[in-house]
Amino acid sequence: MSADQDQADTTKYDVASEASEEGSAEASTTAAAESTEASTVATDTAAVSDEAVTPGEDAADADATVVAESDAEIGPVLTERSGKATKIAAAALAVLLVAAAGLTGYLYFFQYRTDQKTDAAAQQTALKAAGDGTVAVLSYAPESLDKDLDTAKSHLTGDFLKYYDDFSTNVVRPAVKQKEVQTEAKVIRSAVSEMQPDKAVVLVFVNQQTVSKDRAEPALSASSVSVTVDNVNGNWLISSFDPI
Amino acid sequence: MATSNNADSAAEALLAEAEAAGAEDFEAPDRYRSFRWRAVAAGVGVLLLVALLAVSGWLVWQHKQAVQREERATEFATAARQGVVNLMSLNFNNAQEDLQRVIDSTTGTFRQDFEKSKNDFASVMNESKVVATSEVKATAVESVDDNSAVVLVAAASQVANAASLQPTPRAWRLSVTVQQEIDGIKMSKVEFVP
Repeated sequence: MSADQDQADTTKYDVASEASEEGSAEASTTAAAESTEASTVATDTAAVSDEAVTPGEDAADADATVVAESDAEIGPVLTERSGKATKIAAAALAVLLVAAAGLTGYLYFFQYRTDQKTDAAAQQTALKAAGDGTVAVLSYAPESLDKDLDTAKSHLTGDFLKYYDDFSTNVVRPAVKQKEVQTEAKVIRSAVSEMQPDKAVVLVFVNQQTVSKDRAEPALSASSVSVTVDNVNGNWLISSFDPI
Repeated sequence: MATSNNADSAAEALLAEAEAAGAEDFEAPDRYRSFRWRAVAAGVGVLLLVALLAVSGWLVWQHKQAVQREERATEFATAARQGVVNLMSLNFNNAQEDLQRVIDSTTGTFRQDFEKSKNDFASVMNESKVVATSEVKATAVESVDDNSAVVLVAAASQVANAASLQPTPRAWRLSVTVQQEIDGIKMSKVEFVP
């Protein structure tokens, strides 16, 4: 264990410092002798326990090496080489941690978050926005024309907004004023054709019912529209409206 | 170890001596604490590493699932597109082959109905001298499950026949149900959306 090895180094030096600190003459002489003893013992990890019980060693020596040994049970007495190994292991762990954190971060931000923005729930949101916008664009009545046109515009963005602005002013308004055109749209079926985090293309099957002063009988039309919606600050707004 | 008991008693003896001599406290507790701190730090580090790798693995798996789902949906849409083109491209000069091609793109009762009425269809085609070409304008997968999907298809065809020699354009709104079979994805239902 690397922690042990580090511990072993300090053990060796501490035994020596202990020796100098102890006040008792008896303790210091034996401790002084033992500190050198401990140093020689320190070079041999595996044999420490064996050496302690070798007959012939005097009791004090045995004590010192055994003291070194009791510390050795906390951490074996080892050389400087082990200390370096500890540092390399710690550095390797740190590098691996940084790499793993980087990998996790990359996967989360560039894959998981992106996938979330294009998952079924996100698609439903885009789908609903496309449907609501389509209905708004294709529904208006003479009595509520201003409100209807404003409502429609609130679902639009970009080039299509500009186009619709012109179109509603130059074509719709006059038609409604003169012919009292009234139309209502309904989405029959719709689904997402393409999905990206900030843009979706939706296929909408829309039925429209139109009446006018000239014709009280509603005219029915069934069409398909490819609606492109852009994600603008969390809102999906129609940026392109292409009847098929 | 047999020496452990000796070690303990020797340590106690030395401790007693040191205390008697007024020495500072035995330093073992600090060493112990220092070692323990490093062991804990290493342990936490390894645990954190394992946790990060596990999360990464999970993220990779999630992404793989998402990609698979998308690819599957595209497969279904492509099959629906091809099926519709086959269905709506009919030339009376090639009646048998064209009809067989349609039958090959279908499955289930839909296919059975076609097979049963194949000859009737052929006669009608010959009589009306129909020449129809078609193009799929857009597809969108409405729903998917394990081995089938419902695909909305917007198609346009040009139909010429005995009644009208000039091809007239027609627009179609279709709801095509496709199903995974052993030999590919086939249409199991085609509905016109009124």
